[in-house]
Amino acid sequence: MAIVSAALVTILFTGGSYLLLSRSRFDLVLGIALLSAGTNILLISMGGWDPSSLPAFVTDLGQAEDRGREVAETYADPLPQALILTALVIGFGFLSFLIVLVSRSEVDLPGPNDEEVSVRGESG
Amino acid sequence: MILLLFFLPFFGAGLLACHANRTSIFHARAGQAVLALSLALLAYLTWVWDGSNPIVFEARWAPQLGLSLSLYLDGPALFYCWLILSIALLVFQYSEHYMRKDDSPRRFFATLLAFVGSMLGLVVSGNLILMFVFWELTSLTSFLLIGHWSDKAEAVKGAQRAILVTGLGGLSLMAGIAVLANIGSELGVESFLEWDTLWRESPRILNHPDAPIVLVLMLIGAFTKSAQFPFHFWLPGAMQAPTPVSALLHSATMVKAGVYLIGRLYPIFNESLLWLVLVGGIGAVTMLVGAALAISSRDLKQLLAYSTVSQLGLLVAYYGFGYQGLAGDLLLRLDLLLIASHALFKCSLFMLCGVIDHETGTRDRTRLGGLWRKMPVTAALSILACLSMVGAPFTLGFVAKKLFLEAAYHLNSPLFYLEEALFALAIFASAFTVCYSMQFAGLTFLGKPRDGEIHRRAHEGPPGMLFAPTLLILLCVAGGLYVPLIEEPLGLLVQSEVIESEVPYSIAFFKHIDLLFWFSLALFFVGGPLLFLLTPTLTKWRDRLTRGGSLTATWDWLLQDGIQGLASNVSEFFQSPSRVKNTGVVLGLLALGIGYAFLERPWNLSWAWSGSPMEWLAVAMAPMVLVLTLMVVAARNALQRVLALGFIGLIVGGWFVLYKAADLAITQVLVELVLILMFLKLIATLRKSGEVRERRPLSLHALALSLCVGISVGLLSYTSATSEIRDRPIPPDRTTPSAFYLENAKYPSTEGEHSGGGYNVVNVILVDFRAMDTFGEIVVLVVAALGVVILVRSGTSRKNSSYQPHSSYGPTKTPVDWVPPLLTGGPSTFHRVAPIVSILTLAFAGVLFFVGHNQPGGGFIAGLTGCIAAVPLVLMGGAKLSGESMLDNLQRIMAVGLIVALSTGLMAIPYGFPFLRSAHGYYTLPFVGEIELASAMLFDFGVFLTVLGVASTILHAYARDTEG
Repeated sequence: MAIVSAALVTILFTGGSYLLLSRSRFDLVLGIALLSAGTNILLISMGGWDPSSLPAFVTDLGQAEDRGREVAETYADPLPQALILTALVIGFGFLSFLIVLVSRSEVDLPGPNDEEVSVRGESG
Repeated sequence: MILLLFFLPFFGAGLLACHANRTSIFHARAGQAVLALSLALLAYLTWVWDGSNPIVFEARWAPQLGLSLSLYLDGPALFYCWLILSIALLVFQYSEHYMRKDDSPRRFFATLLAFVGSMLGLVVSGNLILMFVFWELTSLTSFLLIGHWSDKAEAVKGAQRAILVTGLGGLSLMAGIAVLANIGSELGVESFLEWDTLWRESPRILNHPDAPIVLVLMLIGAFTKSAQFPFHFWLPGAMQAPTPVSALLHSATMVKAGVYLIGRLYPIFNESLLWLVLVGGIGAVTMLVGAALAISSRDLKQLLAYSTVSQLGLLVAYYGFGYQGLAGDLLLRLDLLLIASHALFKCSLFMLCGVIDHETGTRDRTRLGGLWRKMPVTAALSILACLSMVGAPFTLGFVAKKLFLEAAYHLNSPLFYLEEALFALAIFASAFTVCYSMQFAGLTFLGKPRDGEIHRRAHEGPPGMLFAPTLLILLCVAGGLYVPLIEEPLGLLVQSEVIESEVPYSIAFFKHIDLLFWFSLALFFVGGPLLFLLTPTLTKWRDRLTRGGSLTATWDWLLQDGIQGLASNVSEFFQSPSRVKNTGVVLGLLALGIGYAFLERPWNLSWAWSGSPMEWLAVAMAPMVLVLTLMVVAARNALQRVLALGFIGLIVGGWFVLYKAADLAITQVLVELVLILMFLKLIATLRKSGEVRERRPLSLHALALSLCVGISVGLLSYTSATSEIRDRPIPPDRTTPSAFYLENAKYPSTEGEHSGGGYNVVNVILVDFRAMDTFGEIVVLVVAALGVVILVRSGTSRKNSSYQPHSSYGPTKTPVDWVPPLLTGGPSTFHRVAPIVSILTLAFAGVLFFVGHNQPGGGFIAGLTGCIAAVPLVLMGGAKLSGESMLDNLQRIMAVGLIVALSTGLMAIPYGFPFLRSAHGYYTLPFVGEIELASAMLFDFGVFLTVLGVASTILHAYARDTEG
């Protein structure tokens, strides 16, 4: 599974980076979307994969006794999942802001690209 | 008391800075009052001082680091304090008449006072670190004062040059202190950087192999401050400052800081041969170079500046000559006499130069001449001061020069001919001094007027400006006529010098080599006028020698083309105006960083493959993702690209399913849905501006770089998923965070442990164990939503206010023209169904929320689902219908959500629990049975409201953005 994850991450990061390096603002947004998809896969792959593990709903976990240390092996790792859930929602906020920003900049700064947006604000 | 002494000027500076709208007279007078008060304080301190033990004040701050506020007031420190304060007082009195009203006197006097404070701090600092702080402060205030007339380009340039040179020297000094501190920790001495400790430990320091490094580094600091060759060139540039500043900082006090440091280092390093070579050698060379440069300066102030360089060289060389010499110890006791003498005549010369400038309007000596008729007092004073400068008999300068020649003569150098060479240098430099003094006094005041216009305009300066120089020069002459007048107070001060000596201290001690002394005196008094006559020839030689390239020019070149060029190249590379290049740099560094990590550690890849059916499913996804990514990157049609992106999102959702992450899968799909909607509208906007039609060729550079990034991150993914760290056995008494969360999600695993009371571990982590993160996150979301609203409103408000009346534009164009015709084609059916869909979706969101603590769902998912409820309304133009008030309400929902989340978290505090700690209990309700209520659910409700508000706000605001 790790090898497939790695392949997906490689594909998505390559595509995302390539789009980031484009001069078009639309490409930029798409690139970031691809990168965030790749990042989420990277994160969840870090939690490890076990075909026999159960989802992290601990309904059949005993009351207090006899739970031992194998609990971590029984269930899928919830920590990366919590992290990714956060990442997904933040990514949503970020991407939507970016979409509106690009959309507005297309109206307000109707250049073909942002190659010339200067640090010193010369071309606004 | 001693603390008050050097805080007083700072305090005064602050007060002055606060007093706007006052005249320059007020500021000058107030400054004088502060200084007079400080002087009174100093007089009291001198009075109570017992004459041998220093007055010490120490407030320890971090003693183990050697950091403490320790003040150390011994003889020399007292001397410097007197010098600084009295000259500062006179300079303030002088500035009162010199500065005009429009010269922003507030800034000037406040900075000047701050400088006085820093200088006092420098000389009374008991330890090196504290001294360094004040050292830098003097550089800083000097920079501000040189550039006081900031509209003059030359002044700004001079100020920059000064702070860069002295700043670099300061860095070197700091490095020296650091090495010294290192020696201290090796020797195991406590509070090593205190002056008295250093003096006590000097033999051990000197024997340490690092001692030469310390010496060189610290001397570079001193040399830059005191404008020693080859760092002398900043001082003439600093003469762009107002004349009072030149008189105070650049002749009498600040440039003496280096001399002061050398004087303090003398007891530690004077046994070292390096000391003689560096201090004596550099000092003597500086003497000559400064004097030689002075003779061809046309600007009077420039001439004085070079002469100051030369005199500072003399002072430095004097310490150098103290090397192990026969009379070295004794000579050193008279260093203060030299310093005082120089301060007296040079300060008054600068002031007189200011008077000339003020009353004639020029400082160019080739245009002045015969001024003694118009300005008799100034002329007389200048001539007296110059006489003192050359060391003519019956002035204090005479005594000083005599002492200096004595020191040079007594030098006992182990190096071949070094002493002779130094002595010759001293004689030569003295001859040059005579020469440029003649130029200053002779050509300006005597002879015939060169420029009639200027001569007619010239008049005597006001008494207020002549008072200070008169006083100083009277002291000079009086000190020369009756030596004990100066000698005795100084003698009192130097009794406490660290070096012990059996020989009684007296200037008279040196009388026995009178013959040689008179001989050398005669030599340079004859040689000086000779040089004066030869000035044109000398200037020609000098120009030929330097070939027009001076050190100043070299420095400027180094600064502009070298450092600034390098800096702009570097920043051009790392922060180029091109966004693409910037991104490239960031991505390249990312790939490099990860790649480096792989090179550092051995490759430790294991073949993680179980061959289960699900894994084969995953393998099947890979080519799909590849094709879809290619489509996103390269497809021609923007719609295709966005749809491909949406499919990738769905596959990622499926991927989460493979990883048994139900919540993630749901969230992913929901997020993707909303985003695709927004993307669709973006395409509509871009189509209008025509960007999406642009066809770009394949960029090989970009491809190579992005392949590097992709492969390195892929490797990272693979190794982190299969690395050994995961398989490393966990000690029995420890547990991983994941295991802890799993065990304590519902019930505490051990008695007293905190538990979340929910089966859905991911949700429990989000709203309970790591609720703080979640809280921060929803705040970020709210900020993003508000950003969207502001962006959209900025567009509409501009349009409304300018050319496009809203009424003629808005209604004709529906906000849903970006929706595919499939949906808008049959409005009637759609309109009927849409509200029902919305209500059902909202209800579903409610269910998702309530089950979320135990089953898939929760605040985030429910919020996003609720937002989907708004989608049909948006599609049928609901956003336009509901308008502004809807947007406001949605924003209110966000705010309420945040408040709920926050107050739930705060509720834990009165119970003595940390912020956001949850509580839960089980209750039995009729008909429903046992249910569980947890405060974490209330928090989750806040999250739900916030996410709902945020997502809907973004969607509505963007949909309303009709301009786009």
